[in-house]
Amino acid sequence: MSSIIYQGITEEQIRQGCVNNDRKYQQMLYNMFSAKMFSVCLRYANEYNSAQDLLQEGFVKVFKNIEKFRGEGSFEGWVRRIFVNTAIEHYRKQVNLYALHDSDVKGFEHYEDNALETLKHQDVMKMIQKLSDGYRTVFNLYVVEGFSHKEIGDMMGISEGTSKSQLARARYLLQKMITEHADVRHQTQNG
Amino acid sequence: MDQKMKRFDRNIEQMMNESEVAPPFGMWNRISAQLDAEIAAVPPPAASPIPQRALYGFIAGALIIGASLITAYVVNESNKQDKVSAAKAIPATTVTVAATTTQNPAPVTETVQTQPVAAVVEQATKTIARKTSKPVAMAAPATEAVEETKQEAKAEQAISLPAHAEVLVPNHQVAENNVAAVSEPYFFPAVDNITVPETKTEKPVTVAKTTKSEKSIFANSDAPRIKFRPKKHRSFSYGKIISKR
Repeated sequence: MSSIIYQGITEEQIRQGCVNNDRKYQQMLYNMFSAKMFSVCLRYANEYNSAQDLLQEGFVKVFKNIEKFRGEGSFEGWVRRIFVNTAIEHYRKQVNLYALHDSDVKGFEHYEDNALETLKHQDVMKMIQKLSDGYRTVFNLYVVEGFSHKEIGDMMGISEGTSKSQLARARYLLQKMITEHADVRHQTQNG
Repeated sequence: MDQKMKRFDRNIEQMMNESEVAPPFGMWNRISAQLDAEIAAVPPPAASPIPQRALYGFIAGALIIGASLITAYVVNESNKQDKVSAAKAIPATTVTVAATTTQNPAPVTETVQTQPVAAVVEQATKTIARKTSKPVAMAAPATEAVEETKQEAKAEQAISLPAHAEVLVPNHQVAENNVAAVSEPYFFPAVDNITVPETKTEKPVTVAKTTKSEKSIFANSDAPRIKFRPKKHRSFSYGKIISKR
């Protein structure tokens, strides 16, 4: 049983309206998921304009394939997966990933857990965007989306070792950026 | 160290999943415009000039007409086959023809078995060809020899006549009693066969001598004459048998 979610219209009705190519219901669906999906696009994109392109491409795919949703799992999860796949397709053509020699790196040694608490999510998003395309994609897929290294290897066309080394390097760089940002803020507050 | 990394991953995941960033204003217009462009880019299915219902009706009608034509053809062919088989299955009927000659007044019986029309026509044409190709000088002794052999055969038949053998009947009685047999078209080519040499005027007198007896036979006969008219436009056919009454 679908709950009433938007202006007295259930999610099922909105889906059916999108299947019928009704532009009013398509806009309702956009309003429901645009903020969450744009956040996903920002994590996978290296800049703001690229994130907009991903958002546009992702919604067009959703509207084209919405009749294929069979009700297995949540509709939001299905939409999110389309956006992730769109981002992977977009960057897989550009990125040549290779295994790093320092795959056994254990993270930045001076990183403290409380350093992350001092940051807003927009700041963390910008730090993730600063990572190279390969590091960022593997980090998002493993840490945020929850895929295993084998699944990431299959999706990206790389080996598990490459995925692990890319993740370790991304995690090290991100912890280093967070620690440096926390130190700057601490010095600013003290000074 | 692993616990520290796991905590870091979990914190990042929680922070990212909770984050929502509003897209810039006008984003929906871009998406809507792209959807319109893709819909316009897809060509609509070409409308058929004939309505689909009419097309189905036309196809169904064509099928029905075709089936009826095929059925009619099959039935017609089967009827033809039945007629041919029936003609083949007609029992051999015997017709007695009394041949009277001036030299031999004794009646001569000639037994003719009914055959299919095509076979009779073929036989008749063969006989005509053979007779016309024969030299005139050889015709007289040959016909005499035939007459002698016929008489001998009849004499032998009369001697060894079985209990259910046919009785010799005069020609006019045959015509009266067996009207159906006389009127059967496939019986008559034999008559036409003999009249061919009579029509030739350039034959010498010897022909007239040999055919005199036969002429007298068939001049008295009531059998209608049959002409073979070969068709002009069809090959391998000897035309229809037209009987004149």
